[in-house]
Amino acid sequence: MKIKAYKRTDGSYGIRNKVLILSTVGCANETAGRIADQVAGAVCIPNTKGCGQIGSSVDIMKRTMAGLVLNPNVYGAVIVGLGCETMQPYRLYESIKAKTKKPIAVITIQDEGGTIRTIQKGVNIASKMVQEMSKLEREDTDLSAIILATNCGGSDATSGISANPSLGCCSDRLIREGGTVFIGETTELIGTEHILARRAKNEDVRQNIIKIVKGLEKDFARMGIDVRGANPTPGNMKGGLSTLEEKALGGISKGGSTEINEVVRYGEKPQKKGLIIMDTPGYDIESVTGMVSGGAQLCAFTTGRGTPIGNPIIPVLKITGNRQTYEKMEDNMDIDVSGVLQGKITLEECGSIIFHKVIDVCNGHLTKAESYGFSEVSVYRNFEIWCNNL
Amino acid sequence: MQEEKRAIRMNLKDNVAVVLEKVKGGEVVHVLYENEVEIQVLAKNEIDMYHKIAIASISEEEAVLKYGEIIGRAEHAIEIGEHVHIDNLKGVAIANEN
Repeated sequence: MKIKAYKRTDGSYGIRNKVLILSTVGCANETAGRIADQVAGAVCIPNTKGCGQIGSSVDIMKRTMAGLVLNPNVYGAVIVGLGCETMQPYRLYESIKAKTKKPIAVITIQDEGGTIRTIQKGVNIASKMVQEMSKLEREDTDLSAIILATNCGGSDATSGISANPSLGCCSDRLIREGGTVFIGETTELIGTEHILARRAKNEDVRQNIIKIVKGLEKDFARMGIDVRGANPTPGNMKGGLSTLEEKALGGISKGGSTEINEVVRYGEKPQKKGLIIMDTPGYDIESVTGMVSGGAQLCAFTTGRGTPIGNPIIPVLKITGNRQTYEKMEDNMDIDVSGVLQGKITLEECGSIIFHKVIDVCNGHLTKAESYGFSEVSVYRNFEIWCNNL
Repeated sequence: MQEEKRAIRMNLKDNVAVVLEKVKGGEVVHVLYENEVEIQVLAKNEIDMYHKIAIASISEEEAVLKYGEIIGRAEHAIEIGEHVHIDNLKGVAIANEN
């Protein structure tokens, strides 16, 4: 199956054309935002932190900032910093420059001499980038160029029996066509690690699956939290879920049934194609942001209760198997697969509907979240040790 | 005349199906797989919407399968048509852990 996308200098294909105004620290967010506001085709990613960070939190932030710039949907980027932050803007710029030939610039408020001059310079640079970007035309490529992020949020009793397994059928088909699918949300893998491990391509992948799941469980236990004991929740049980495995299986069904080819860290780009696990947290916006940094060009998002989230760089497609949710939140839901629960349509047929919608979105059709300009983004931060002693 | 009740089977290996509406004891449940009515099961007791019904008899300690995978083991023998939930199904992930 062919799609039309924008070819990048590194050989990757973007399904959207964006100039990214990336803030390296909260202190530069307003400045970066005003640059993006002034330039059509530019989007701002404000920083959820960028300073006062320690330990592996710094590595995660650096990796993810770089990954967001490297995402195939990004034509070029202007990195906007304050100057003195942990996330050193010039070093970040150099590290990204070493990996790509796409247009990138860096400016800092302290070096430019205040926000007005920074905004002026940023607008100048970004407007030239969008003019160049606008000359690009979509070219034929195939689905092996595509990485689909998956996520579920606001899950309910319908999620594991309609939206997730329907998306799983789409994932299998995309992978058959040579594409790549991310599954994440490591918290929700607890209870299925033995099943996922059996699906690992090799021993290395098997060990990494066990490592991320068991490691997370140990971290929870250290804080006195028993994930296995707390799941399924009373609400889950009322909805019909009896065991942790059953809940987790319903969640991972969105990745389909193929073997797992690689496990990557949060925000990391995979080396392999096919089904990939990314170690992401349970918070939807952080999980999706990690996958965007890993190179996903779009996200298929399943929900039971409904959620409006979008992303500044990639389209987010909403799928629900709850008829009431679709009717109540039709302005936020792209696909209704509730027919499965009325015996009107099979999971395979729903998978096909999602697959074709994915193709349309790859070719430029807007998702509902995109049409509203929704751009939720948040980089996961660990090592938050402050304000915990009184 | 009795209203037709339905349940969906996620995988052919499964010994439970998910009822798509609330079922009362004594009602006939049509179990669908890929939209085809595969089998009919007589419900033994009341089962809430999206809860599980046994579509095969399951002996004590036998694996309960959904999505073609083990979601737990039967605490005691379960008859065809019985509600399968926390009273007769226990996860094994917890046991593995301790």
